[in-house]
Amino acid sequence: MVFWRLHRELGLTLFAAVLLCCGYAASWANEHAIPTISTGQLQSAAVLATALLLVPIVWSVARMASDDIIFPVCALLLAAGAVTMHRLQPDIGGPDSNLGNLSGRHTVYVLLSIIVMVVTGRWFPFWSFLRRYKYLTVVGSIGLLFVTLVAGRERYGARLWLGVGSFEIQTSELIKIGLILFLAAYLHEKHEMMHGRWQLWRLSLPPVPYLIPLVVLLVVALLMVVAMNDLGTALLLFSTALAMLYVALRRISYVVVSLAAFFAGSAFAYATFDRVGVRIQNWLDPWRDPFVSGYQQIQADYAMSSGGVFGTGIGRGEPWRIPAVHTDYVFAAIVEEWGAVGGLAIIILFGVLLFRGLRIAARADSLYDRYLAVGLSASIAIQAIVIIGGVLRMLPLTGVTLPFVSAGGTSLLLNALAIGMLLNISHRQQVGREWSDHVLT
Amino acid sequence: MSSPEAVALVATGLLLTLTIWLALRDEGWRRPRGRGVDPQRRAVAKLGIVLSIGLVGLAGRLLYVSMVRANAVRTRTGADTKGDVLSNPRVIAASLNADRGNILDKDGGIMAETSRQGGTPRREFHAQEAAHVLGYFSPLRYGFDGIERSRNDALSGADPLTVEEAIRSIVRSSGGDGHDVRLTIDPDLQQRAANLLSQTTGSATLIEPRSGRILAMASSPAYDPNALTTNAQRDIASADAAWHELLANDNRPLLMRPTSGLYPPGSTFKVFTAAAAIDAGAVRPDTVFEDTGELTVNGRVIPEFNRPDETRTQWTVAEGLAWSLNVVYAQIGLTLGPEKFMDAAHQFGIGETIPFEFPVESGQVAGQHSLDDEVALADTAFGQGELLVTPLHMALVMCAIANGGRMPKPILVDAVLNPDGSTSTRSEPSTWRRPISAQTAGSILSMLYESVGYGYASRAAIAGLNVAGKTGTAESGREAPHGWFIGSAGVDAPSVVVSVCLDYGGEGGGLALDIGRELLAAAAMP
Repeated sequence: MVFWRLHRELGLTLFAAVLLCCGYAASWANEHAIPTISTGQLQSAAVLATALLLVPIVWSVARMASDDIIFPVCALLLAAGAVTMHRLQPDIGGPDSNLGNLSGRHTVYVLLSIIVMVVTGRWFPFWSFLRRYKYLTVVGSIGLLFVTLVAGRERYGARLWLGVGSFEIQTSELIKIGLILFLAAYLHEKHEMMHGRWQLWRLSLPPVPYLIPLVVLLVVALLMVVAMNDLGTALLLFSTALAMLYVALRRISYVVVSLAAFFAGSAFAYATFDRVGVRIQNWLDPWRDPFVSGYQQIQADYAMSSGGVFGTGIGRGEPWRIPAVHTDYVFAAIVEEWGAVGGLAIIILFGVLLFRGLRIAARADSLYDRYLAVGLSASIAIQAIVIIGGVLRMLPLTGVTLPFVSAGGTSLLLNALAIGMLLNISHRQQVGREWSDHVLT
Repeated sequence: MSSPEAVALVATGLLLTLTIWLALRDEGWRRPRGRGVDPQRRAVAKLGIVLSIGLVGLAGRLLYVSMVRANAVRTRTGADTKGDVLSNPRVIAASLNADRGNILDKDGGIMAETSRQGGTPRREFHAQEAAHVLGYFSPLRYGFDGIERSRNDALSGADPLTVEEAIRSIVRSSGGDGHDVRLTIDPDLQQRAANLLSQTTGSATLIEPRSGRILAMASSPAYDPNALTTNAQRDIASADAAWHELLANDNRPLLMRPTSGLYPPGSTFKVFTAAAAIDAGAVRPDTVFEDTGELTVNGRVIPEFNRPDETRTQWTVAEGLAWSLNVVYAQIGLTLGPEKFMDAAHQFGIGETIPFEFPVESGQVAGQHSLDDEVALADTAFGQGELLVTPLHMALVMCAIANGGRMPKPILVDAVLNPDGSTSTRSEPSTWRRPISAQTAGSILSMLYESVGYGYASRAAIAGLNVAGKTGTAESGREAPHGWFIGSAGVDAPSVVVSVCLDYGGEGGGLALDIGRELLAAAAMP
């Protein structure tokens, strides 16, 4: 069993290692005239590939029994991100740019993410401890947001970073995990009551007293993120909470009411905040103001339409023309150089990730694990839909990172943490099942 | 999207489907034996379906942006309010680097080429009479227009057209050999059309009714595309000066009138009304209507100025067409009724997007006033009201009459040639729509022969040819009306169709008819 698992997980991870090496080699081959490329960076490809390949081996030795598709899929996405950052380094990084050694930093964060994934996945179910302190978790995350809002560091016109010295985190990423932990614990604990009815005089209403804390905390978190101008995260939190509520309560009416509230809120935001209005305008027609607000989207459209089926080839396109290509618009860079095929592959990897995550949720033994797995896997898929949809102009662009691909340490680490949690849930359920099979037969 | 690309895409799709199937096929999703269905598990599966619909939507949108609409998105240029132009730097670089292909006329004569005299390549337009068709080439400044834009991929060699090229394009990113593009334009007819229009503002389109091949398409005032060419930095100052001069000209020389100009068609639209009514069986060519010099519809008086004999009050549908009797055609429209009228307009593609090399304005039958309003219906039936069409569209209406009821898809590019001169892709004639029966088309055609025989279009007659024609004079909102002429000519059956529209060009029976007759004679004379 264990060795069979090793060979599948390792074999699939090999694809990621190959992608990584080929990607680095291709961008080296296409840009070797540029002096900033050194063999040192090719070595980092080797280090990353080795690290990825070590994960299944370490887990196999440690008798990991979790789902064995999820890690290779993440590895492919991480490899795609690392290759893209490496390819963008000579164009947008370098000593003159405020991004500095973009690729080097990204490599370090990817390595850290892999470690986080390995440890959380097999050994460290910290959330079963946090489950008892659910209010503390969510209030703490919201508190951190508040501190950031007051004393955070501002970048790209939004104050999202909290830092001590050179150590910085993006607290709005943290709230995602905090909220999922809280919702899972709350919905699990109040499971019975949530399904009851609330008798008020002669009316039979939904269980309002139990919904109130939920709604209040959710709204506070949302308002906080909106106040920080981080509309993408707000959309992500809202949709994730909605997904978890739907699975826990299975009431389509809650979904309808929430969506109505969401659209009302969006309409209000559109009417009130200029920033929202500009985004809607860029979504509908970036050519209304091609040199200022629409510039980024137009450059992304140019990039994506230049790739064709197979792309220009890594290092042969000009994705660096898109402002913020390494974060919000990394998908456009991939479509230009890897083609429609590359873009499709990224989308499908997220699809596979989603279904494997939901499969863990469906098989979960405890409701807490199930809600957690739903929240984690849905949040990753929703985040991908929000940002790719924004880049493709299917939705208004709201800046969030593309999980595992975009640059950004906090985002990488926390998404790795989410995957680690999912795998840990899967591991424990599998171990429990094997144990019970053993006892019963 | 070319066929090797489609094959590659399908193969990738199959591979990816296989991957997903492998990921999902195991027992994980099946219902565990011995227990009832857990409703929450079903909710999890539903959530998965909803989110994967989102992902599939992304995939669809990705294919749309990066493949289906790729050329339009990639070559799009636009200006802000200050007049600064934004265009895709990749397209600029590719079009400057590539050994750009030539644009040829139907006989292979060079209309536009890249000359290498003096070292730096420079795009040169020899056929200035076809300025709007060829477009301009201003990669460093104003982008592209015309064929230079619509066939940019083929001309710059960026679009792999054969399997071999597709394979090579994977290995080699850009800088393919440019393909030559051969048009359907006849150089003599194009030159003649441009000369005839040179003193006026307007357009002329000559088209073969059977194949839809466009023999000439001229718009006036024209411009010199060479003045806008920017191959290098030193061209920019002169191109800027020329560009701003063109923008300042009230007659809008950059406008391709046959496809981008929307006009009320005036009396030429009676051809449509007659065809619609006869095809629907509402009237016959010899059906008689009363025309006493005016008609009152819902309190509005439609006056009649066109009767050749003011004492006569009974006129047939055919005579109404020949003498362009508004009162008769208003009554035909009312007899037909708004629903059938709209239906016929739809059949003729008015308000639809014409599939063509360049974007064509789609026009409209009715604006603020629906045709349910009898006054609007009566006005529209004789070509006024809020009706708007392009000259190309009226040419296609005439094609349907001349071609047994079939409206061809208009073709401007005959073939794309490989660098070795062999044909890479060729445009095959096809029918765009079939709005009326062959019988109806035949009777309208003979009515239009009569119109040239004794009616207001009689000056269009050409010795030795069968000429059909209809003049039009459309209210323009200014003192001078727009002048129209549509017609066909052939030794026996019609072999060529013309559509002339002169902006504020006076009565259609005047200059518009003269230009139409000249062009028909030149094109149809054996």
